[in-house]
Amino acid sequence: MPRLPQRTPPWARLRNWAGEVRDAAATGRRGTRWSRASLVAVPALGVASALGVAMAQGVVAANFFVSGQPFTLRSDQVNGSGFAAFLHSRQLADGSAAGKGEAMARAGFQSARLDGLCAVIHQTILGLPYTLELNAGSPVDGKADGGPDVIDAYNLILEANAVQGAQSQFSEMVLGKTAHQVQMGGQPLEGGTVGAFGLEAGVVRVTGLRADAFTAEISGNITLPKLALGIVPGTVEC
Amino acid sequence: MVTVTARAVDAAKSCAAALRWFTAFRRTRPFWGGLWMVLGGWAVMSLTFAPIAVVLTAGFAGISGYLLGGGLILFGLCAWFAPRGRHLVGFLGVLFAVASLVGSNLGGFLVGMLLGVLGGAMTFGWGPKRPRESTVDSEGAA
Repeated sequence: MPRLPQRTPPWARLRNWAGEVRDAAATGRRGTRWSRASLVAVPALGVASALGVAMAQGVVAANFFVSGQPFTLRSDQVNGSGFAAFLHSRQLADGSAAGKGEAMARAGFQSARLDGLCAVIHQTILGLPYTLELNAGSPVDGKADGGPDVIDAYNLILEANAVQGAQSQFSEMVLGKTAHQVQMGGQPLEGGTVGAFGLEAGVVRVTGLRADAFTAEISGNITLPKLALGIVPGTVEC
Repeated sequence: MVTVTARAVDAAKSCAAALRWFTAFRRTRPFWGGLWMVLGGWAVMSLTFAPIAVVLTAGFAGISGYLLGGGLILFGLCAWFAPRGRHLVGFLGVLFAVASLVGSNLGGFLVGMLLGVLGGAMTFGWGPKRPRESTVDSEGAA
């Protein structure tokens, strides 16, 4: 294939561009003009806070999909219907290429009604630890008080390696179904291994739930009345 | 010995030249706005890394992290390498950042949304400025 003779090689073009950047820097003074920036930023923050208020009132639903980040969830009571769960191994990033396999329970609710919700995620930015704290509904204080501020979530899937509940009730249970066929109220719960142990339950009630989870998917909606979100420096627990 | 010191001097010189070029690069484009957009997009996207099968079954909630976070990163890079389109890119970045509040984990738990709004607005507002009066006298056309 004959090359076009006038075509400049990529390194020459890069060198040209670098020279153009250098020349352009010598002319005039540029920078952020904050008066113009605020023309966009102020209405955007206004819209964002209006959306936040609408979410706290339960008018606008939020979308959640957290994966591969350890976080803690607490709720005074969870009333779920269309429950399905199985155990599987999940690859967690630990620096190696393959990751580290860890046994986890993957549990799905077709619909769940939560009496208060508190979630914390621990993260580090530039080496400094900080905690994201999310509170919604009635305060998580160990009392299942019901009330108008319940949180409704649809198609909620959690993956956890430690789940504790003070009290739990299951009814309409099917035990020992093969894991790749379990369904949460008619919808399949994806990701099961063929032949592994799975369970289904029509109605679930767990009081005093505490879960160390790695994945939260809410493919339906979640309403978050009394939403409060905070960033706290350091490592804080729920 | 002489060649070693000569080499060290050469290395220091080229380092200084690279630094000077980077300063020129920084001053001719909305660098900081683009950087905040890239970091904000990363904050939104990094929460949602999952196997693609899981992402697809999760529907919009799974996709939106990649869509909104990835979009913010792209707009940040556009602000760096195509600074002429900064008005459009900055505006879209702010729009995506606000959309991520509803669309993806409350905008990367607020961090990503705030960085995206800041970066997008800075990119939108970036442009030629009047030269500083004091520096004009001392340095000429700086």
